[in-house]
Amino acid sequence: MKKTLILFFAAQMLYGCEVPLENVDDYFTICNIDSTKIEFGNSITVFGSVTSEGAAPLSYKGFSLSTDPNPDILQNQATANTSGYHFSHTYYDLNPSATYYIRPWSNNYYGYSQGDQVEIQGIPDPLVTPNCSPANNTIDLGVINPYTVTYTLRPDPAVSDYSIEAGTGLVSKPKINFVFGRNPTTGVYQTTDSSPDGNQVIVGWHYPDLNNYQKLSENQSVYVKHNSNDSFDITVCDANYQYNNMTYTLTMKAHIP
Amino acid sequence: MNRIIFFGISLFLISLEAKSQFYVKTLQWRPTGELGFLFNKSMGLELGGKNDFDKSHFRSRGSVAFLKQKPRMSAFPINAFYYSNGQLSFYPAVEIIKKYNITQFSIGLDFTPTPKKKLKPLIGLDITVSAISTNIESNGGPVEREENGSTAALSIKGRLGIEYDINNRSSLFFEAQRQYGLIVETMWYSANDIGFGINYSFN
Repeated sequence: MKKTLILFFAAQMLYGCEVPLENVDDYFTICNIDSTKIEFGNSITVFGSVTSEGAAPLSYKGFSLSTDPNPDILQNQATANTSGYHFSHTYYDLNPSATYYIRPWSNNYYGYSQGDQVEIQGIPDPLVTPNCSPANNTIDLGVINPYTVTYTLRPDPAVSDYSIEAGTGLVSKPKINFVFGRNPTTGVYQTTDSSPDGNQVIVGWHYPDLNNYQKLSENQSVYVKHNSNDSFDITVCDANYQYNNMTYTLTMKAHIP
Repeated sequence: MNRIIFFGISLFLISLEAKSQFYVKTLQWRPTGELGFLFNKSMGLELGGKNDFDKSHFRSRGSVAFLKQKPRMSAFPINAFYYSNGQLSFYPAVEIIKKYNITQFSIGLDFTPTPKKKLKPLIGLDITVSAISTNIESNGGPVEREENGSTAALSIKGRLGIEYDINNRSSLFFEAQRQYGLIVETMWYSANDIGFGINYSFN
C-alpha cells in the first residue's frame, strides 16, 4: 500500500513538471505576408502564410487593409477560405493614387495575432480606352437597326450574381446581359462562353426570340470603367458573334445608371 | 461568494481544531495549462495547522493560502467574432485582467515512513476549495465591459516534501505540490507550487 501511494505521488509529481510556454507570444499564431501581386484592373492579390499555429490548432486567417498604417483586424477584413497554412485574398477596385497597408491576421484557441504590414503603392490605373466611341446607351447588333436602351444592375452586384442587364422591354429589341465572374471593376474583360473568372465576362442576349440565346464569341474585349459605387461605363467595339452560320458584330456603350 | 468564504474559513477552523502545530509557508505559485498561459509565477503565503506524527505515520493538516495572480500580458487579444449573412467578422478585442486573487482553503493528510526521525520525507494529499475574486475589462469587441466578479474552484492537491525537526517545538519543511481543479463554469486548471516553511508547536 505504501509503495503504491509513493509511486502514485511520484508519477503525479513528475507530471507536475509541466511548465507553461516561456514566451507568452508563443501561444499565438504567427503569420506574415509572403508576396503581393497586382492583378487585372486595379486589384491586388495578397499571399500570406501561417508559420506557427501556436499552442493550439489554427482556426481562421485573413487580411486587413487600410490607407492608414497598421490597420486593425476589422478594417476591410478578409477571411481567407483556403485550407492549410497558406492563404490569399484579392482586394478589388483599389484607388491607384492611394497608398495601402495590408496586414495578415490569424487566430487559434488562445486569441488572434497580426503579422507585419506591407505597404502597397503605385497601383497602375488600368488602361480602359476603347477603340470606338458609340453614343451612350446604344446597341448596334448588326442585324437590326441600332437602338437606345436603359440599363439596370441586376441584382445588387455587391452581393452575388455580378450581372448587368440592358433592355427596352421590347422583344424586338433584345436585352443584353453582362455576367461577370466577380464584382465588376475597371478593366478590359475578355468574353467567355461559360463560368467567367475574375477578368472574364459572358455577354449574351435573346434574339430573335426568347428561346434563342446568343453570346459574343470568346476572347472579345469588353471595356469596363467603374466610375463610383454602382456607376459603370461598358463599351464593346465590333465584337464578333455567330448567328445562322454568319459572323456579325456588336458595338455598344452602356452608361450606368 | 460569501458562502464559499464562510465555508472555507469554517473548513479551515475545523481543521485547525486540536492541531498541535501551526505553520507559515511562503510559496512560489506556478500556474500551468490555461492558467499558465494567463498568469506568471507569483509568490504566495500559506498559514495552517498540522498534527504531530508522534502516534502514527499519518497526520492531518489544514491551511489557507493567498495567491495574487500576475497576468502575463497587459491586454490579451481574444477571439470576438460574429457571423452575419454568412460572413465572419473578427473584432480587435482585448481582455485586461486587472485583478485575479485566489484564496485557497485546504484540508488533507501527510504520510511519512519515518515519523520518529528528525528528518521526515513525506507525501500528502489535500482537498481544496478556492474563492476567486476578479476584475476583468473587455474592450474592442461587440461587448465592452468592466466587471468585478467572483467564482469558486474545487481541486485536489498532491504533495511531496521533506521536514526536519530543529528542536521539540519547531521544524523546517520544504514541499512541492501539484493540483488539478475546476474553476466553476469556466475551465479546468492545474498548477504547481513549491514552498518553504516553519512549523511551531505551542504544546
